[in-house]
Amino acid sequence: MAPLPYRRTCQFRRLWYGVISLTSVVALFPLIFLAVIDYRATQHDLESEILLRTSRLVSNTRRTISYFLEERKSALDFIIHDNSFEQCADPGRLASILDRLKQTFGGFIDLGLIDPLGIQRVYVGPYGLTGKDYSVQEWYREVVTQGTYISDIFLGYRNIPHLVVAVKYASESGSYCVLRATLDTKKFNKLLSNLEMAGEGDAFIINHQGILQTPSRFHGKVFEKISLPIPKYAPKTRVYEWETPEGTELIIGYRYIKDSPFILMVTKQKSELMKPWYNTRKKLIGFLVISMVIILMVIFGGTTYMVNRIYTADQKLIMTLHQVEYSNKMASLGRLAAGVAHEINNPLAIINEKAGLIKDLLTFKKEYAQDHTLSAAIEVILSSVKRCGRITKRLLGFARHMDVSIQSIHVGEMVSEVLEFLHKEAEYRAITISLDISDDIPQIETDAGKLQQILLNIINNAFAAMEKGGNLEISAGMSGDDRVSITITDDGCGISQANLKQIFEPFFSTKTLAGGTGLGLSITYGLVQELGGSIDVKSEEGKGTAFTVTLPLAMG
Amino acid sequence: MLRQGVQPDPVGMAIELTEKISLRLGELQSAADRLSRILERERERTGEDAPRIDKVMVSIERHTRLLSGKVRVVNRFFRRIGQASSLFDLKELIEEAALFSARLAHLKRIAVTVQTDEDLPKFRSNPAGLHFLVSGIMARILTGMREGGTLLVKGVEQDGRALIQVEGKGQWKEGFTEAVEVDDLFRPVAGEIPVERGVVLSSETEGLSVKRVSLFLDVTTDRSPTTT
Amino acid sequence: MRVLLVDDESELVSTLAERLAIRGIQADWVTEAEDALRMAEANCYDVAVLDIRLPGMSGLDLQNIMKSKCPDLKFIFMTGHGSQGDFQAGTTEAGPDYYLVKPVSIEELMEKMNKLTSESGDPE
Repeated sequence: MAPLPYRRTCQFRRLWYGVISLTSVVALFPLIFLAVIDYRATQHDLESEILLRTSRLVSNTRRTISYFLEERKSALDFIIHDNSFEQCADPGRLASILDRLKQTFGGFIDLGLIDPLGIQRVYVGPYGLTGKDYSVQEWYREVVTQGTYISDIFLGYRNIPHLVVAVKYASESGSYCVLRATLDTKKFNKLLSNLEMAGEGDAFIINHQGILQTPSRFHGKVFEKISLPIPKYAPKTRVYEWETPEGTELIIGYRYIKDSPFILMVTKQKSELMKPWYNTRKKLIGFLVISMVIILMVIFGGTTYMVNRIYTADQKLIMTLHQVEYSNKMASLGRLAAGVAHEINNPLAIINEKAGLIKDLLTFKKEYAQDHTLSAAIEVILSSVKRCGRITKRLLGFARHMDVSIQSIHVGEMVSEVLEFLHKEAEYRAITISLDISDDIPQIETDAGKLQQILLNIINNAFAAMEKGGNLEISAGMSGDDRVSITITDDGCGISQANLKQIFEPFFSTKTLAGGTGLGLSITYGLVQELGGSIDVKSEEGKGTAFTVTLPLAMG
Repeated sequence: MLRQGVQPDPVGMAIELTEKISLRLGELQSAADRLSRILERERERTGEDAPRIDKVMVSIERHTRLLSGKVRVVNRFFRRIGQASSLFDLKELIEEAALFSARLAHLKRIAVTVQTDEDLPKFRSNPAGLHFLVSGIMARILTGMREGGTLLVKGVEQDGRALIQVEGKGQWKEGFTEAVEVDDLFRPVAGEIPVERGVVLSSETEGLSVKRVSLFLDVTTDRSPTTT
Repeated sequence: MRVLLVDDESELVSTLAERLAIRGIQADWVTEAEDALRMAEANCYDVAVLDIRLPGMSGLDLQNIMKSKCPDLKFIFMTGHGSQGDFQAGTTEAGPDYYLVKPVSIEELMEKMNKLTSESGDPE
């Protein structure tokens, strides 16, 4: 009795776990998988994008700087080609050329012409360098051999950073001269400072020794050695990641500027650049988590609801089945045990009388009537008997009326409920059922469980008596003013007259009943009695049987 | 989350009530003892009534003792019924079934005799099922008998199996001509007890009266005392 | 008052008779329905106390037979909670005034007996 519901609960729990696990995995796995792939792809793309952008920036900036330097070089070239050596050697002419250069290009500080011996023959500018001898200087040698020269940036006039550009002019005769100019770095620096850069970007120029040529925001002061490693020579733009000793991750892009001592460097802080990504990532993860939570909640809730529904329906069915079986069995067990009542009550009655007799015998002698210990002992005996009697009454009371609960029943509804319970059986046996419930039947006060039992037992019996394709008719109507009668008629094999008398005896059966205990009708008889009603049977062999149950409107 | 229903417990109730009765009977018994002792002391004073009083006291004690025994048997029955499966004593089962049939037998003035082997082996099954079967068989046989006669209930060991046999001796009701397959009648009930574990039922009938039913049960060789 | 007690439990019915005797009521007791009929024919009783169910016969049937023999005889029933059917039959037929539930209280029994015998005519 007790283990069965528990076992089924276990199964349902397993079902619940199973469904939830499976659904969760199926729902979440693709989601997570795709999210992870998307995440990594996006991150990778972003990083690539950053590197690419930096590379492009560096390349573009380099181009600008190169162009700037080329422009200045070309200017000098033009001047030398445009003017003859004599014209250049003329200080006045040179001075006006310088003026014009200042006006147009801007940034030219001085201008000088150096003869093939390395002596600056003519000079216009603030430094008074006329006659200076450059022949042994590195740069002079370089410009003589290379044809051009660009200097490092140095602190010059008024402590302003300058750079020198020089070009050589070689005449057909084989002689040459060098035109040299000093420029300030204002425009030069502007090229870098005008760059729009995200991510705390820093664009600057260093020379091949790592000395900063232009201001850097983070990596040192001008003319100081840079706090970053000097990048190795590469013909094209390179971008790489590097972590500072302080732990900052940097994206560094650089380019060696051809024909100049300069290396262009651009640094950006990775974390700053990745900021939008981090935001997006946060949103993505947040969305993912919320989605997962919602999905899990829905799965959880939905599964619980459905499993509960199945469980409840299942349980109801099982309980009903068990109830019927259990009721039948209990009813008979109860009847068996109630039969024991006399076995307990009779001896009790005897003991009661005997004890009463002792009391009688002793009370007639007045001495004893006053003897308290005597009467006390007798009273205990008598009261124990009384109490036993009360308990026995309870035992019998509940053995018979184990589940007495009187309710208001609508007969038609009850019949329908019972039929619903048996409809699968009826279908299987292809039995046609017709109902004829009278409208004028009021609600009756009776024990619903027992009435259900009675109807189930009788209808089951009818089913057993019919071959496939039988007809069952249930009718109900008033019988007099105070009683309701329910008649269940089948067209099965019927019962012989001789057997009709015995039909309600316990264990009486005239045929092999698969699944029947032969008790059904005797129990039914007992139940009908308990409801204060009566049961009657009419039958004709080969034609059919009709059971009529008559019940009072209200149980007495 | 998953809801479970609560089943009523009439069996537990019955166990409780029968135990309460036993307690009261115990009180009754001790009160009767006390009374006897007092009356013993007062013997001289009771005089001519003494033998009569003695007889009644003896009778009270006897009936109380017998009743306690019966209540114990009923209590034992309900305790056993409450279990789903157990190893139990067939002697006890027969004693209980006989008690249940006592009233029906008494009304038909049929004497119930019980013969059981002292060391009848134990049987493992659904106790309610077997009880049902045996009590039902007894009731069925009794129903077909006329007044007077005996119902013999035997519990013996035979060929390594336990045999429970119920036989009615006396006169039988007449008037029926159809034979009835009693085996089939009881098989559904026997199905309560796992038939695979060895319950074989055979019966002898005459007309619609069941005269004798034999139940062969495969038993265990476990002779340890049962915990009831 | 003469009383006839009929119950299949001899120890009960004999003790009951003894107790009635102590109270000055002459009570005869039998355990068989046939003996009850025999006694009722032989003697004139005022009240018959019957158990509702006797072996072989229901107390009600016995009542009917006895009534045909002694029409003036009054009846009281005893019942032991044995059968619901008998119970209900008892109350409908005999009426609640005329039955007692075992174990009976002797005072109640005497009360009912006195009531029956003091009434003149048929209680029905």
